[in-house]
Amino acid sequence: MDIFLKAVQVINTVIKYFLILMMFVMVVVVFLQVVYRFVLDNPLAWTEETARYLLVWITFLGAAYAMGSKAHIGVDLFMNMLPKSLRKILLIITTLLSLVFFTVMVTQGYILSQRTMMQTSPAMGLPMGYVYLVIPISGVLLMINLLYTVIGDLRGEES
Amino acid sequence: MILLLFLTLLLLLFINVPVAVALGLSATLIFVYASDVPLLIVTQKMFNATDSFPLMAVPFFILAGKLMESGGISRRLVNFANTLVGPVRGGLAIVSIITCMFFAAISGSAAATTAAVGSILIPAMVKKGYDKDFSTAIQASGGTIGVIIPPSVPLILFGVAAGTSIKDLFIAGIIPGILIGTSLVIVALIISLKKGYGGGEKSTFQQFIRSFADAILAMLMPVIILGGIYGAVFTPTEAAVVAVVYGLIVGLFIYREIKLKDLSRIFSESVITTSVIMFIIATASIFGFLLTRERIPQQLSDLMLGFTDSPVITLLVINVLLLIVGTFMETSAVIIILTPILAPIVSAMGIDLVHFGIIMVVNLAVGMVTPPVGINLFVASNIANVKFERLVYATLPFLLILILDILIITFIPEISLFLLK
Repeated sequence: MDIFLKAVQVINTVIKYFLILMMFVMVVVVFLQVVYRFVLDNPLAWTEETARYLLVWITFLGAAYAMGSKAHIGVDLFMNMLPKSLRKILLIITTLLSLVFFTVMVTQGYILSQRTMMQTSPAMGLPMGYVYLVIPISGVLLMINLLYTVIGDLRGEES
Repeated sequence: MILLLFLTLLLLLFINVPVAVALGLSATLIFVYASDVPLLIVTQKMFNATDSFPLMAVPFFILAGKLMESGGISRRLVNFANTLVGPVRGGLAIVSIITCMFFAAISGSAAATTAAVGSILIPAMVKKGYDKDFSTAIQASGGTIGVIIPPSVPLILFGVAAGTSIKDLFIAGIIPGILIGTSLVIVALIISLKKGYGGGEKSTFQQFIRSFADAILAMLMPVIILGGIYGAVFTPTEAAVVAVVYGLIVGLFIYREIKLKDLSRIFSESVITTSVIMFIIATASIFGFLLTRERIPQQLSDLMLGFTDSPVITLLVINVLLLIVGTFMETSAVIIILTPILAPIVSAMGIDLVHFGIIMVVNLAVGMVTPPVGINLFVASNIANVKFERLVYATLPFLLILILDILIITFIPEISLFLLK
């Protein structure tokens, strides 16, 4: 169990720096677009598409990273009114339910990615399958991060 | 089937499944249970919803706001405002709200505004003899202006969800933002005069010049962002990226208050805030697809029209609904979920969608200072270390005037639409 928790922490550190890098590149790319359009009067074709795909990647990978730091928004008002034992059972139920949705992301994301490997993006000629690949990857990362936080929560309740 | 969809969603929210997962899961379960739509649509919709250039303004304005927070810009705005009105009765209270308005014109978030301005001004006010609960209440209510004065992340989300121009929404938010700021100043002034808060040494002309020079780069920022958008030079997304680059240059090289090692924290915090919002957008699109397919917004709109055809009553009902929902759910989430449902209803009544966007955001902003779970109340009580219950009590006068503002903004459309004509 502890090996799993350690592994998740390592994975998350890698994801974190990857996310920071993508955010930085997105800023640079869109700023280049502004400079080329207004200052040099010579608009670039690839900037908007690159930035959009970066945003998609940041969204899904970031969602997995945010899961690890419990940043996702929920309505905890009612749960906090319940007794501890009931809360624990509900925590397990909500975890299983979330896993169902992430499984759909993984399987359907994988199918989508496989089917679109032959399509290419309009501006850069990138195979769309690679762009879509972020959905199944993030689905898996969402799962392990969810388990990571739930294990932490359950241990916290016991101690 | 639709009843089932909403019941599933409510149940999931009730047991604290994250909003994003609750939206996606409820829609997916209904897909499997009651329709022949292939499940592939789930991931397709999620991708299409996030593959958007206008939405990119969201991460950029979040990032710009965080850069301002860490870059010493808020402190300089406070100093300048202080040399202007500091010495009069209730001076610092007025400074708080004016700084909130300025900061709001840079950042797109209410919690960021409360945190950035409050962490400087609450201690300053307490030192000058202002009551701590009162000082904290001002920050909590002042922060609400953060999402009303453009740029505003909630207004971007509304624009994308309702298909209205983000630029028009930004223009429409200016006068309501000033109205709310002014009304808060009046309440703060009345209380300060009654309790004898503030007043003191006048600042010299030299101090004024120095603080002005110090703050000029900070004050130029809204001019560049908003001027660029209104002058149709930039799209909101491009203006947002210019704000980020400006914030980086000023913070790193001119004020030199951001160190290179701070950048990784600033960027990773912005990434988290961004993807939490964007992931809700992704899963809400599955939910929205199901609603549209079943023509739910039209049905609700017909239902409402059968009940009343008065825009006044409809807006009142929606106001109450938004205020209640806004107290226990995060603004961005509410906008993403409710806009596609409410927009067709108000359109059918002949209400302008830009005006409605302002109504919605103002309502939800006030929800942030409405107990029991207003987010701004939590942020402010945290930074000031004030008991939540005491803060709620101290916020009441501000809350009352804010509700009055909602009614004024709702029923006088010209306040929002005047600048567009």
